[in-house]
Amino acid sequence: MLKGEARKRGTRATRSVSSPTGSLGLDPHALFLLVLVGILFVLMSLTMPQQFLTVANLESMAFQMSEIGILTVAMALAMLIGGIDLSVTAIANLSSITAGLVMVHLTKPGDPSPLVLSIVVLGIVVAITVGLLCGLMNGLLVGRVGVPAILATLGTLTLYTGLAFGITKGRPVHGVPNPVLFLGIGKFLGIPMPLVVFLVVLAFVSIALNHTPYGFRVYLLGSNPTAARFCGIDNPGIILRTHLIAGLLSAITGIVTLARINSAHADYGSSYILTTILVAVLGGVAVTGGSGRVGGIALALVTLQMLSTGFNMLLLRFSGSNFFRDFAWGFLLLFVMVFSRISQQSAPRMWWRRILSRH
Amino acid sequence: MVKQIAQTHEFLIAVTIVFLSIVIGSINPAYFSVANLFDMLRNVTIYGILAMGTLVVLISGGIDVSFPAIAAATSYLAVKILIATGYQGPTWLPFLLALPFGLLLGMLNATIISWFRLPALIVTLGTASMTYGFVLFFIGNLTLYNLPAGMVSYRTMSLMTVRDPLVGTSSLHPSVLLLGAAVLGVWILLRFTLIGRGIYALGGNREAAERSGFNVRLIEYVVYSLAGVLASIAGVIQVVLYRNANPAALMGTELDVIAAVVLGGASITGGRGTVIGAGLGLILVTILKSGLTLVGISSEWQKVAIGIALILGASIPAIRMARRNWPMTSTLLE
Repeated sequence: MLKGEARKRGTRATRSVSSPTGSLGLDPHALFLLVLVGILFVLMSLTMPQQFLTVANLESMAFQMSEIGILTVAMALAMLIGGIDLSVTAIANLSSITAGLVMVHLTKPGDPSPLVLSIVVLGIVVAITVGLLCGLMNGLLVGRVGVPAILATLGTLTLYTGLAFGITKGRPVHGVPNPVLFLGIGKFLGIPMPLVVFLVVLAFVSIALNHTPYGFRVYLLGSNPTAARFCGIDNPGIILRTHLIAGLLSAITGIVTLARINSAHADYGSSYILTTILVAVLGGVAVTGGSGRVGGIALALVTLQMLSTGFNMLLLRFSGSNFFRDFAWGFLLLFVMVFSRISQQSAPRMWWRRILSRH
Repeated sequence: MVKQIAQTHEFLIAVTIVFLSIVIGSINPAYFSVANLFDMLRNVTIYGILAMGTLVVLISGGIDVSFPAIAAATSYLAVKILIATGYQGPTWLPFLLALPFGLLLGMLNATIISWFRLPALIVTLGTASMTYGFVLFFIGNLTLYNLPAGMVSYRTMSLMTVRDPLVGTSSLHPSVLLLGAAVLGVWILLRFTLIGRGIYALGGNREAAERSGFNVRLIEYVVYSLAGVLASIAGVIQVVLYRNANPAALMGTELDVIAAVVLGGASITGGRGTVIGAGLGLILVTILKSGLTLVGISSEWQKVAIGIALILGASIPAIRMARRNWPMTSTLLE
């Protein structure tokens, strides 16, 4: 019954429900992003061909953006149910630290390969367990106890970062055995491994959101929690599951990061929270929950990665080009949100505005 | 009446503070020294002023994570301008110079949040990033140590000096007077003015406040601008006390301040909160931070303590509300 109604398009009430035709579709927002990506690609290839259009550069972009990508999917899930998860980077750090500690302390350089491999697997399992436990705590606090998501994840962020600092005494963990590094800097059929992981994650989450009852309920819950409750949806259960998945994805991010830079630190990536929110919002995730697609996130990710690379190349002569990126991201986040809000509010007379607002 | 007080959140925090103080003091008597008190007061001055701004924003139902950025940016700008003009005079001019920038940034927050009805957390995350990024890229990313002479001499002023054989000399810096003024000002605003009532009303139920005739837009402007102004004052005090102007100062402290204010009883969804509560919450966080060191627990575990305190402090009101609403206790049923 419900799936059939989901196929209806056009009315505002059902616009937020994902269509079963998949995550890219003919959504105007996605189309806009696709065009933007195309324009940026052409622009950068024309102005800086020798720097931009090289395999090395494209690969480096793929490596960088995959971590943020997986983390963004975690954040986006939390946003879809109408909340937020400020602790994703902390969970990633804690997971990578625990995995790193296991791998470093249980292996020695001369150990036989099967032993090393099994310790690596153990490390990954430990990291995933940590991520799930952290997500469980988040889910229980927000779902069962009823603490608002901002506050709950603020508290858990502090707690998890504190644990990470306490365990490592503030020092980075490094020196993981070689097999794990393949995950971070290796290539599978020519595609960088982090990107492979990211694409797998995208596929799974997309299927979960678009083709399972769970995904359907996520969108309902995010659109209108009260109505969802009265429809018989187990709100606390969905919240719990979502935060569990977010914790899992954060742990995966931590593992990939550890594999890529061979180092885990309690403080890593604290500025990534803003970036993940920016990617999510640019990708079409509504800030109040209830709508947003995984495909949009992927496109937004590519857009921002190209912008970031572009900034780096242009501003190489100035010191602190990272700071310009912080400024640009903040500005862009505000701009995108304001623009979305404006195009939502009025009945626009301009034809191009109408196209953009028809989602 | 005693029973009424005993049921408030603030009382619970006060009891916790007393309990912790007894525990810590019995392990390390240095905790009860005047020198330690002055040290804690020095830490509290900057955070206290920031907490007052945060309190007002939280009561109104919003949130502001950009205040450290405003504090650092406005004070850095003020110092940079003064160095460029070769100013060596008294400190009140840097304060006066930083203030309009703080006001402007606060009003920027208010404009975007109020006119476009966007979630305050994400908007202020954006403005924080913009502010830090703007200053660090366009203005400068070097810490300035050559402060105007007036600021340097202000640093060494003291209201009261205490010489303790165990801990050394400790002095009470006159900036606590600024803290006192901020606390008093916010208390009067919240308790005795119509706008104060409006802030509570807005936080409790925005629509009801609007229909009751409160000018909600004005209240939102007041709230975020006040947070910006207080942040700039705190930023200049930070420059004075630490003897340098760092454009990336106070980064990451927004969580501590918000944690302190929320622990003190302010609700993150708005409508509740008191100055006393915020003060107690700040004292509790300060005790947790410095007290742990006195007891011998290394500072890396401080965050764990604060995190646990915050989670507990957030769970208690949530459980209370669920119990009050039983059997309709579904979460998200606002």
